[in-house]
Amino acid sequence: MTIVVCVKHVPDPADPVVLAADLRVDREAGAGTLSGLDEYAVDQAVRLRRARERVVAVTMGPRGARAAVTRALQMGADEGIVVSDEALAGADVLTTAAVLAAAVRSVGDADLVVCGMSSTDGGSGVVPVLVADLLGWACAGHAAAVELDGGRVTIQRDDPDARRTLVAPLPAVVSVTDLSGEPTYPSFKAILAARRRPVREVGLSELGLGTPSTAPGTRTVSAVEADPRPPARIVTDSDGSGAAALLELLAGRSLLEVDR
Amino acid sequence: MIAVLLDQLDSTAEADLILVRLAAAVDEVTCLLGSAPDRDRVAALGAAGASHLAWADLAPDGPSGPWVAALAALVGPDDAVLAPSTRAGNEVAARLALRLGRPLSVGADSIAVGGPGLVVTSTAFTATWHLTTELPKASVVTAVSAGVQVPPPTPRTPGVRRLELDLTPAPHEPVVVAAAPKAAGAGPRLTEAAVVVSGGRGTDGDFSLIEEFAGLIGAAVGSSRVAVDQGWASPERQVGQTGVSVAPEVYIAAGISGAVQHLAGMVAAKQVVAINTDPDAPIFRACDLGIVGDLHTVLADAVAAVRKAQPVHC
Amino acid sequence: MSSPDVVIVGAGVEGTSIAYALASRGTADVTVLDRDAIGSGGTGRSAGIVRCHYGVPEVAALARESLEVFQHAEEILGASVDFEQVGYLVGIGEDNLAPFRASVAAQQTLGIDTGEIGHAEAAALWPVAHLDDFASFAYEPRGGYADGYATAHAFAGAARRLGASITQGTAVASVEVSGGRVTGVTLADGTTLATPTVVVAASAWSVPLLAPLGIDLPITPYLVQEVLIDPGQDLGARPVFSDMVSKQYVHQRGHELLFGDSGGFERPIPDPDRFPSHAEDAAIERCAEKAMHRFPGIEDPSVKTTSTGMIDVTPDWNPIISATPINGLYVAAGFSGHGFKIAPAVGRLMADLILDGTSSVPDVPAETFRFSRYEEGSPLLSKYPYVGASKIR
Ligand SMILES: Cc1cc2nc3c(=O)[nH]c(=O)nc-3n(C[C@H](O)[C@H](O)[C@H](O)COP(=O)(O)OP(=O)(O)OC[C@H]3O[C@@H](n4cnc5c(N)ncnc54)[C@H](O)[C@@H]3O)c2cc1C
Ligand SMILES: Cc1cc2nc3c(=O)[nH]c(=O)nc-3n(C[C@H](O)[C@H](O)[C@H](O)COP(=O)(O)OP(=O)(O)OC[C@H]3O[C@@H](n4cnc5c(N)ncnc54)[C@H](O)[C@@H]3O)c2cc1C
Repeated sequence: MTIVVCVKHVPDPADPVVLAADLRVDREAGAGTLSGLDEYAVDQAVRLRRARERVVAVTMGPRGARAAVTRALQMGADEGIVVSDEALAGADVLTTAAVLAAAVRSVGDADLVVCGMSSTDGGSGVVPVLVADLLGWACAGHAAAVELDGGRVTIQRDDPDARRTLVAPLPAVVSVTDLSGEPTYPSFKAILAARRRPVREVGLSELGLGTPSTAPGTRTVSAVEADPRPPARIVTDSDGSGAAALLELLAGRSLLEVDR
Repeated sequence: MIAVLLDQLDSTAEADLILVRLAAAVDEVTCLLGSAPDRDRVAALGAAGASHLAWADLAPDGPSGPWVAALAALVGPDDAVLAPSTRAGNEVAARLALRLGRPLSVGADSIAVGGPGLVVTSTAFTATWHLTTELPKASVVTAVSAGVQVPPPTPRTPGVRRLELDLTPAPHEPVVVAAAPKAAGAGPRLTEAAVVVSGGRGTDGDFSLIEEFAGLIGAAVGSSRVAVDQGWASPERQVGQTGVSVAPEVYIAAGISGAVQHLAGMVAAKQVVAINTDPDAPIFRACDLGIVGDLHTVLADAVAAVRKAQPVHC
Repeated sequence: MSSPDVVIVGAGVEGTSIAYALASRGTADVTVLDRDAIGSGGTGRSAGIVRCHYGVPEVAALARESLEVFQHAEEILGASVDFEQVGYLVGIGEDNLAPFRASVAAQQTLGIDTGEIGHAEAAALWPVAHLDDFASFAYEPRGGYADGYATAHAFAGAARRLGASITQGTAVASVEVSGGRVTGVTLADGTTLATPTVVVAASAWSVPLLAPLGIDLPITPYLVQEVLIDPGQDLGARPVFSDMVSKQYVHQRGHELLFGDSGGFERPIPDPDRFPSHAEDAAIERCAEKAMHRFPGIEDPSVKTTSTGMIDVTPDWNPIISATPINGLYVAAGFSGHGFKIAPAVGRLMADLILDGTSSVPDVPAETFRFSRYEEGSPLLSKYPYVGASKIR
């Protein structure tokens, strides 16, 4: 059997975001990186890999997106698939999920798909459940811990009111949160070994998909950078001046009245 | 009509009312509830602008499939759908959009009639950008509730009906086999509090002053991810990109450096106060009042001053 | 801010060092302006390596003079610059042995504490390294590394105590000139600050400031990439290691090792303000290959993180520390990726140029780093060039 891990190439959060004229992210502007939240997914997929199994990292994106698969290979994935097609520029989540589901099918013997809880740039977090529905599989989302036993996957999920244990039959899609364990950085040996692992580049037609429909959908009409806050008033604390400034601010907004 | 998804596991009654008021400004509102509403609930939802209430026996901690099926039965070809932008709400919304072949927009912070049907605004890239998006009316939209502006509603007297549907989950849907409840905790909810006091690595594991100060002024306690990773705060306290987003009147960040992922969860706060020993900490470039100092000293002083000013309870 | 005697543009390690040098010579009415914060430019990202191994004697002399300040920063500047005097080891291949020996001899003539050492001694300094492909080594026991940010702050603090003022968050929009003389600077908010003397120490950002005055600085921003590795074992304190065979440099930062490439992979970038924050995959792979070859004794090194920075490169990879054709206008820029280790002496040299028009820095004639050398066709090149290495030697 095979574990597929879906990975996304995103702008480096440390770089300023640059939007091109068509309001899409200018992906050529910075080097880009594997989405930080997908590192957790790769780490869990590699950890869950059972004997004689392989982990296949799949990404959809422009040419540079291959770097996300490269990083996944360095972190221990065995193979990679890069789905790249001109027709996919600006794809929405539904198209993305359809492409990833088709890539999972193309792997043949996958019974588990691991995703990050959301991408660090778009951030909707719904791709995993859409992939699951398109495959007709179970989806167990937002796992803080994942275990496989027999034909089932068990996850721990932190809800506001309780920590729940959920069980779903395989095949299944799970998404893991950033509380699932700190991913380990690749070793130099792993970085060099990753260069020998196979990466398959495919277009839509190889996955048996047509050009995504351009039915009237969502259209981003404007994008503006958030205004920075005006420079702060800085108080260097001495002899209670810090607390005084804090309480003065709260009192000025009538927020010290409570509990009297 | 606009159908509104309520009663999600990770939403709150207050957030549900905000969602209804957001929707009522767009169109006539039908709410989907997970259980029969009592009279008070009917009145509250009516006061928020709901015209119709539809309910079915749907467990908040059950699988999302039955919720999706119930919503699908509720909406006609021209109706919009609004769900809370929480993990559970987004999941139901996405599955519904796929099932009905509708456009999807996640995480709106405003929604209005306009363009081809609806115009929504949202933030992207860890809240560093504001986007405006147009969609057809018959779309599925999820919206945040913290800090959104809601117009005053026109009160309604909603009709209540039960959805007659087979809502048995598909056999492959995940099932909850165990739940360890969390202590409710004193004080206001993190997402609804007027003041949030958050601690980070700078607390060095000691949240006692943060809790004491928050308790005194009726604030909620939040944290950075480092504090959660270290086990000093429980996961639902985490503010930020992978935690909750808050929009209080005042956000107090104590011993938090101001990483972009943390800022993403509190940029909507009206006033931000930072307490940090490092005058070069990035949080000082993202606050209104910056206190350069040791959080333990500053908070101890603040606690003492508030206690002194408080009338003695007899 | 009324009308200071001198305005310095840029509060990097060069600008703050110049301010300190001027103030300590009695010119206290100095104002340093930075568009961002002290050390926010290349200085804050610097590897901070300190050594005197240079084939340009004047650069070696600047480094030699500066070493005194790094070593005695607390007495001289009243603050620590986090100098770790772990020594500096350079290994050379057969192909460069002749220029290497000549360079080391020249350095010794300048009074620099350096000398050739053999394989056994080198192996004692770096036991985990594979050394067979080196022909020889030189060792400077007084070398090491300091912290860029701390150094700029130490200079700034010392300058302030002597009366200088440092204003952060204030960008200079243009330098005002009238009748061939500097009259002041105009700030980004439109206000003007009158002054007879302006020193532009703004790295690659100096170029657009001087272009409107007809001064075309031949400075190009380049991207440098560094990889921080976790050796996964305690290596003890090891000297900075310049590996002139694999073309890399390594130094410790706490328990971690910082690797840089000296194989000439720095590349020009169009905009000094826009470059990726982390190293590209190709750079990481190159580092992995070189490090695995050189340090077989480190069992399982892994990438901790990567970082990048911008350096301001001139055609001869040496700085411009100079007066200009405009009266009262001076430039200290184009440090080409090695301005940290010479910064203390650069301050002194620039103060000399402004106040006396001559140099008091031993072995460094005032005209060495003149701007006109490019026009004259006499670039400042190493007397003992190494083949295959980047020109920072
Ligand atoms: C994909 C991704 C998602 C993430 N999501 C989140 C998220 O949702 N929320 C989140 O918070 N982080 C998130 N992070 C982590 C984030 O990048 C930072 O690592 C984290 O926010 C840092 O927490 P901190 O500020 O508590 O710790 P640090 O960055 O270590 O800062 C501690 C601060 O405390 C100060 N300090 C120390 N002692 C004292 C004292 N005695 N008094 C006052 N100040 C003191 C220090 O000067 C320092 O500024 C995410 C990271 C990634 C990659
Ligand atoms: C990754 C890296 C590693 C390095 N390693 C070493 C090393 O090991 N050893 C060594 O000797 N050197 C090293 N260097 C080089 C050394 O750090 C630099 O040469 C030195 O720090 C440059 O200092 P500076 O003051 O000229 O420039 P900067 O530190 O860049 O300062 C220029 C300042 O000018 C300000 N500024 C720009 N425009 C304006 C304006 N219009 N108005 C006002 N202010 C303005 C900027 O904000 C900035 O603070 C390294 C550099 C890098 C990037």
